Amino acid sequence: MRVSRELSKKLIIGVMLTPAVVVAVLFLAVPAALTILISLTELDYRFKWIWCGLDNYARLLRDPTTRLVVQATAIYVAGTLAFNTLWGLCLALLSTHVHDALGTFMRAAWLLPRVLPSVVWAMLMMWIFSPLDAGFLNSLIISMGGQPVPWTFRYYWPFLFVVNGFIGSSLSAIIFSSAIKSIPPDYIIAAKVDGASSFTIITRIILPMIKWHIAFFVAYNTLSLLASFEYILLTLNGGPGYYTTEVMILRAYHLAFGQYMVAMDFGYAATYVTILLVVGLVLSIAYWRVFRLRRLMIEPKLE
Amino acid sequence: MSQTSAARRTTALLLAALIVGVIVGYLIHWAVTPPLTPVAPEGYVPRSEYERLQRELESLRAQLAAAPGAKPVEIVITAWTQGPERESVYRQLNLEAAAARLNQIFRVVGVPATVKVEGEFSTAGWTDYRKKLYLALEGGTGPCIFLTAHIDSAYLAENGWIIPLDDYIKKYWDWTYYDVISGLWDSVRYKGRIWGIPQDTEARPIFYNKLLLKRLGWTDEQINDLPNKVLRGEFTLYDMLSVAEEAVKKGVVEPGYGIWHRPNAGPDWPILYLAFGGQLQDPTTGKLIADMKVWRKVFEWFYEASMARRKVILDKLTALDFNRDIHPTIVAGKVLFWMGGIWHKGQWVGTFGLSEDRFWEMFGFMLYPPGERGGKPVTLSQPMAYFISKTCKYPEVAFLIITLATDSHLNSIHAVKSAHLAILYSQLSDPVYTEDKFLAATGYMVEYAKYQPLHPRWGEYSTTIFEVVRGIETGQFTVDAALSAFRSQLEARLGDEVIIRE
Repeated sequence: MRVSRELSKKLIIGVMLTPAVVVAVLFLAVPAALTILISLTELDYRFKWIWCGLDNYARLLRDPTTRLVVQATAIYVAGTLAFNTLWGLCLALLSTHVHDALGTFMRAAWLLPRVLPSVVWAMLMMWIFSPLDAGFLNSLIISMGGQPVPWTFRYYWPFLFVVNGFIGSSLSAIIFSSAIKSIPPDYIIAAKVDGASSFTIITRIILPMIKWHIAFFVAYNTLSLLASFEYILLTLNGGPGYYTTEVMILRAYHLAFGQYMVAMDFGYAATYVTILLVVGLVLSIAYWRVFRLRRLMIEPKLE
Repeated sequence: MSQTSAARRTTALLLAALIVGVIVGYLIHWAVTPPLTPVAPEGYVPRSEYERLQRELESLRAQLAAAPGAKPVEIVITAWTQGPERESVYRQLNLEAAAARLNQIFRVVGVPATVKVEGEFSTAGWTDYRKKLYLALEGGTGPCIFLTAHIDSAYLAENGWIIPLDDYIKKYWDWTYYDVISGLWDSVRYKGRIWGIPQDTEARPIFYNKLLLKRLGWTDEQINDLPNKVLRGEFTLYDMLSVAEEAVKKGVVEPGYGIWHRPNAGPDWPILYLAFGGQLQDPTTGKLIADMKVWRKVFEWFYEASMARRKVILDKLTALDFNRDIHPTIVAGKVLFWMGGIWHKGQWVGTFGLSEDRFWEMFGFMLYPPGERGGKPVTLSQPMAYFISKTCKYPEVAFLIITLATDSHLNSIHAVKSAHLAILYSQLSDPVYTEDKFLAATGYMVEYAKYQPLHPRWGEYSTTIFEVVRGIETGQFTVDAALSAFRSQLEARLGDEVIIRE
């Protein structure tokens, strides 16, 4: 009798989980497996699956641009991640330290870049930071008698951090500010009574108490940045120089669908995606361990 | 008083003489000519004959209508065409006009069918258009007729997406194809068969700003003689570089505004290699060729022109956008030499607010000068062509539409509106075409034009050229570094499809 109850419990759980499992397999596992399979073929403009083993991976190692592409990926992910986290933290702290209505307005305003269509956002940013004299910032600088700055041309990484970060940081700002708001006010009041400065309150109370949220955001954002390329594509498209901002996923896109006359080098492109897949998996496990995210998931020891 | 009466009398006399003369003349004519016989002049069709034909047509209509299952049929032919410049919309409109002509014939004869051309003219970038087209063709949902550049023939044919058109061309040769400028057939011939019907062609000249040259101290004669000097091989790419450098030094143009080229990958990139005497394809094996000695000369030229050396080509050039930055700057007269295409004139006048008169006042145009003194000038043509997909249900109807669209009048309208060159001999005497001063003045360039190689991987070769030149111009590469990057990229991308000559 007890066994059958156990069994029926498991059965119910199984039935409840089925839709999620089906969706995950169909839309996550199958595409991932297909990508890995394609990376083992010469699939190109002829649209034929010709198995070639690990040839594409050997080609990747020989390819003189691989080093540049990997380097660009590291800079892009690290830089944008830092920008997103720090700027989001700044916004969260600012918007929770001012009047409530103003704080809500600030967070809402920072959502604007996110709700704008990406193409419009990219065009706006290209116009604001245009390296020519006719760009928005440069025409301002010139009208005030200054020297124009070749924004996107010289400061391409900061430019990309800003273009992506203004969108990414709106998410982190919302997560962090709601976390800050959930800190019981007693702690902060007690600290203030004891004469703690705002800086001390932030570093000793607020940051330790929202570290889980920060850890979650860093883990989540790293993975999504590895697979994000649309704003680079829409703005600098791998330029301004020789593979300066060509990140791995953009390289994959260019190999499959980009370039003059469309390269259609699907097999080789899938190699990059497969490597990103592995990197993503490794990073997830690493974050899981390093940030001890499991402790976020387990049931609280006391309520 | 007596004077007026005398004048009156003279007038009356003259009038009387005139009337008498006319009567006498008529009488003489009547006397001399033989009596009229009711013989019809040659080529005259009597009314009765028309009526008989009309009756036959009526009975034919009646037969067609009475035939079993003679429900009116609507044949839908899908067609995709591409600009990207909106002035080239006649690539689509002419197909629609051809369908209208075919329908008119059907209506007269009473054929219970109508033809409809459906589809769209795209103003997206070429990469996006090609991507959409290729994936649709592979998925079997592609259009029946589509337009793309002639170089795609290799790619399309290799994939079996299109049908060869040789038999149809033979069948309808006398309709219009005898009239196609014969060299154009080579642009759509791949592995011995013809895969597309040329729609237009062009030349890619270098536009020079006459006003800026004048400020540099050139006389009108010198300015107008420049294209001829290029033709005689007396003005080389390095001479052009020196003129641009002088303009920068004297402050006639800003540093980096001496020579401009397209900011992205595209068909123009091999032209300098051709101007230095390079060869792109091996005629026997069909493989691509990279002659590294010639490429060294090309990269040296770009290095000399860059901001690191003579400050003629802007380092930010490849970060700019055609429509947002480049055309407005050129139309504003800030650039001395522009490596463009003849259709840019159409865009400048049509979209960028340059008046026809101002164009002639401001711009001259010449072939790409040879790389070395005494060499031959060169340009590149990229004819556009109509293709018929393998999935087309009515390939012959589609071909008929293309045939009717390949018409001197329709093509001339397209040519004039979009500033493209003729594809038919008869266009060269078409009043619409000949009236256009610009097309008349650039027509000779076709003789010096070369095509890009027909090879399915050519796009990767071409993109590599662009990437390396961008590296040189942005100051990342010296000539040696550029060469080694170029070589290793070609090897990695094309493998044994490219022959690298040292």
